[in-house]
Amino acid sequence: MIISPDRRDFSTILNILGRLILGLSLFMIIPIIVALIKGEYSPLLDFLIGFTFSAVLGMLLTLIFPIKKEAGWIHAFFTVSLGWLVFSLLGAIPLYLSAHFSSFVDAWFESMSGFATTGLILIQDLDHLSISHNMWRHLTMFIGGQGIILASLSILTRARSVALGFYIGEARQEKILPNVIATARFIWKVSFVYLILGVITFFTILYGQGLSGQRSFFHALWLFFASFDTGGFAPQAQNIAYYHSFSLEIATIVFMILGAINFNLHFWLWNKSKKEIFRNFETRTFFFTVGSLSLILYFSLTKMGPAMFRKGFYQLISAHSGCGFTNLASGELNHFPTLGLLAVIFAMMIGGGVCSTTGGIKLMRLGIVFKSFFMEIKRWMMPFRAVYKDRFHHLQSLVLSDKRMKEAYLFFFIFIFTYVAGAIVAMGFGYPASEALFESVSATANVGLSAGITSPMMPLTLKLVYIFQMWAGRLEFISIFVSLGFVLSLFRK
Amino acid sequence: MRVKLKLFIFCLLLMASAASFAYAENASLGDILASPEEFSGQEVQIEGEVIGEALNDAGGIWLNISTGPQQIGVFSADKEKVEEITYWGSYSATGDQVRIKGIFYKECLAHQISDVHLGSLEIIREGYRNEYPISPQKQQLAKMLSIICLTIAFIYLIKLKYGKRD
Repeated sequence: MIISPDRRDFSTILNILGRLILGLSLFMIIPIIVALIKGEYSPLLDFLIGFTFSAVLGMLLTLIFPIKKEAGWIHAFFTVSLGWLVFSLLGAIPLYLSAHFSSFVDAWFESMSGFATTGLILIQDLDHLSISHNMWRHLTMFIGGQGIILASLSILTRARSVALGFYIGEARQEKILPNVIATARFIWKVSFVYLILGVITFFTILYGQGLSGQRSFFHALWLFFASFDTGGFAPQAQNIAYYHSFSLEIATIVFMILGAINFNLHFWLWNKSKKEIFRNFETRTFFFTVGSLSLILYFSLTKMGPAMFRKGFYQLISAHSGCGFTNLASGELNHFPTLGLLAVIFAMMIGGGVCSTTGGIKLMRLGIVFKSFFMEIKRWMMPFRAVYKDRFHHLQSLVLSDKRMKEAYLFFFIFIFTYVAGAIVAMGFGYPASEALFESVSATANVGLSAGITSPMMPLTLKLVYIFQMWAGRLEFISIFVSLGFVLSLFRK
Repeated sequence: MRVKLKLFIFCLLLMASAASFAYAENASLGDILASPEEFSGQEVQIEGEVIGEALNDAGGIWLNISTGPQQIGVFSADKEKVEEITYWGSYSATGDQVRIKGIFYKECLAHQISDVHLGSLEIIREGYRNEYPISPQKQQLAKMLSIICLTIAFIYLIKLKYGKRD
């Protein structure tokens, strides 16, 4: 029997959504403070409009729609899918008012890209953007990377009963601590410790390069948001190439990888065993995929000589971690040989650990798909009546059960289908196949590297398709599909 | 006859190299980045806005030039060459418009990236401080929304304090 929502369910959903919008509006106070300090009065108005509009909407929803039912899974899935759409729309208001976008859809694209930690951009004249707008762009990645709803939940205390639903709805499969709120707070704790480390590291490098103290601080903060939350935005149009700093590139590699690691693994490394890093199934899969893709890249880019590391390996790690930072000149990625481009596409498809800030198929699922394939071969080689189950190590020894395999294959195929579907749409608009696939994978896996398709001039339909891919990819489809299922069930009543 | 033939070939080569040199001089940054192999190791001329700030590096200094859709890093071993730049492009200023002459490298051996090694720098147009007048429409909208927000916040707080707890 399928549960079908009624009016009381929608009233409850809109009430929770209203509270969460209020939470989002509070985040807008940060750029307001920055604008005040820096004397950016025109951007200050942009954020004041964004803040008041969001706060009014949040309060109205809470006042008009009371909670009529105890919040459950149905409400969690709806709130998550609807919430991310609404947040990206509200987050786009101050961006659009900055006059750096040719349309509201472009600003919405940028906002969704930020919240979904993708990093694809449609902003124009980024080098002249205000500090407060840049703060907001980068803050969206931090909020989105941590999980918007989880972020609000760890501050608000009322919706605890439905916390697990929100947690899973935002594409996190593993709880770190028995309590979801405690898990959310642990994620914030980890992020803040790395935030301090990251800002100090980046600040030291940038200040040494000659940036002023204040500029070094802001750039360090933004680069941390973009690397640890695997977002990929940067305050300059050249992205990481602007800094011309090898040491900065190495530092960003470290934080990109830290961001791509499962938060559960962070917990183990901090509180339990350091050896887990070498035994963990996800880490081993990561070493294997990075190793084999590096080899492909090596053969493909041999002509480059010593530039191969900076040009090739950096893009590979950026793609694999789902960050999307680039140190290449505009359009340079298109000059990669097809094999090299394919290696980067594969890296983007895979992504990082489950329960991390990355998108894509995820290391765990890919590892399970491979392991189950070899398990099946072994099974065929055994006596007919033999019972065989393979195991893998992820924090503890786990059996490769049918349920795990089914889940892994399901996500594997949904992602592959979306990658291909997005590519077909772009090809329909006349873009070459390799570039179309590259961009589609980049949007769905929330990476942000671009083969050149993403630009303000691309067709409106394609912008909307990429917005959908970023949204669905970030939430890993399930909460969206479940919500759609509930909506469809209304018509069957 | 052999001497004449050699002379003819020499003239042809000279013309070809002169043509390619002139091409490189007139090529835009977009052309250079679209066909980097063609221009690598050649002298190029780029006009654009200087962005951000001068960035220190071992043995020299970096500046970034933006032509709008494209940007590139320019390396100068001589720090004094960039001292005459007054405005660097940012939110608060439009940077000086400069003409750069230098050698473009697709894969620079020293820096392992695509860059231009500065030969000469000429300021075509000095930059200026940007003014951002506040739009009256935005001001009106912000005022209106602030009043609505405060009114609803008042009702919201009253409801929170005295309303039935859900």
